[in-house]
Amino acid sequence: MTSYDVALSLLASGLVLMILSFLYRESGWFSFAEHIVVGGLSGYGAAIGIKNVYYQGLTPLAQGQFWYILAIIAGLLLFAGLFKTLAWWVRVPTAIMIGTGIGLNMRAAVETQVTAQLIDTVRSINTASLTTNINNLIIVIGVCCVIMFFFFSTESKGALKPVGIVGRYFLMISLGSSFAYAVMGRTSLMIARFQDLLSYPNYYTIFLAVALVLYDILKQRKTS
Amino acid sequence: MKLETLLKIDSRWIFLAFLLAVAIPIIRPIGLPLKISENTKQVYDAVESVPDGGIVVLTPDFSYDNTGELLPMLETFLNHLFTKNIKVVSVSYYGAASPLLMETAMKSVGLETYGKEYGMDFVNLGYIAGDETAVAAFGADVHALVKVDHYGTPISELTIMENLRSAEDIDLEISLSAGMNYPELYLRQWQTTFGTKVTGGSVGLIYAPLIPYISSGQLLGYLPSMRGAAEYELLSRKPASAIVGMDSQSLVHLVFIAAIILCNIGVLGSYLKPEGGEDET
Repeated sequence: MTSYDVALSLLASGLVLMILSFLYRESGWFSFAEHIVVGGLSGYGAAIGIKNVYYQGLTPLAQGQFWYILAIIAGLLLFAGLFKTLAWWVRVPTAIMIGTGIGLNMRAAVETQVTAQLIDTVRSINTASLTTNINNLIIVIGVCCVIMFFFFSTESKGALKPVGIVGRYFLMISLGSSFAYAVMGRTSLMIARFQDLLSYPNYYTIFLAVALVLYDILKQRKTS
Repeated sequence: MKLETLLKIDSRWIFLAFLLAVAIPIIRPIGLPLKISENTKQVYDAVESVPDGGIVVLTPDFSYDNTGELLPMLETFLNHLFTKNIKVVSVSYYGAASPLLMETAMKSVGLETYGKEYGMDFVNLGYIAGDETAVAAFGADVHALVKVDHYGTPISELTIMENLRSAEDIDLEISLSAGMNYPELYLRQWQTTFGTKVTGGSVGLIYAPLIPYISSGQLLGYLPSMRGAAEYELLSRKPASAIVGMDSQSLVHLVFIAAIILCNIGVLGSYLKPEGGEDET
């Protein structure tokens, strides 16, 4: 590990600790690190954007593919919104993007997100495995009940009411599952940061952070 | 003890409990068992089934905020792919930081470790703006859309790109996604349109809504967050950071469950508190 790598590593872990300091209380350290993150990512994003325009638009144009000028003009029109008198022109590239996007989406969306899912819902409950039969039955009942829960054309009463209630419970189980996955994901982010922080030479920054927090606690006790 | 006092605990004590649950197993690993799920086996088999000399397109559609979840997954996929005679093409349609993340992963994995060569066995095409439009255009005609790789080298000079003309030439698409729309996008534009096989992994937040696609066979398995990466590391016999983090993961979940139970006891205590009377329970 070169001294350059060590310095970069310490800087990164220092910034992580500055962000984590928010859990103790909001401070100037947190704002400083937050601004660096926003500034750094915006700068990098802008550079990649310019690079994209250069390679995907200007280079083919310079090579004689003149129709690329239409895409470049459409792209420039997106900035028309910055000028009050030209603002209307923003609608042209926006319409192109929305139209193309929806068109491309729709050509396969029905098959991918509706038909294939519908086919998968129709399951046999007469297989050799009892657990598979039970699971398949739960899926069919669950899908039907949840769809009925979102059926708003008639009032939910009589026979429809218990179906809607069962649908709501299926929805709650589904939301619980989503929440649990979210917890796992967010925990993973924290673990990864701590794996970095607890490795050499980053753990030195932890001592500094703990010392700063202790100093702050003592200072607050003195003032109160 | 007044049960409702559980609701007044300073949240910083809970943060400290989480911090200890994360840090202790990293400093002193416990070695809790990890079971490999059928889902992970499906993903592994999908990679194993890529023919000799086949082309895999790897799409790291995430940014720096999701590295904790998806970088170990990206590295474990690269490690597995490079042990085989497979051409790997990396391209991203999300967030400008993705090509840089691919560089980070490649630095950790190392092409030379596996005797692979840039341009021959692997290429980083970088970020392509346009989402649905870009993915559809890539699927229809790669060479019409992409002119240079991430470093500005014309793709006509890269041997690996000779046999990749459209999505029909892709033997497997591995999507590493931080957004729900990306796996769906590859399913719509490549799997449904060209029959391309799709697998990969995602952040935990968007995983549950993707399960129906695994169940229907549209996705050939899909790894959930760090847990998926850890199982894959175990299966490919290349233990790395994800597997090390799983002890912390299990311990944090126990702390989380304890916090939920304590909080509910506190709420119950506040319900049981008699109006204007003694609240000792």
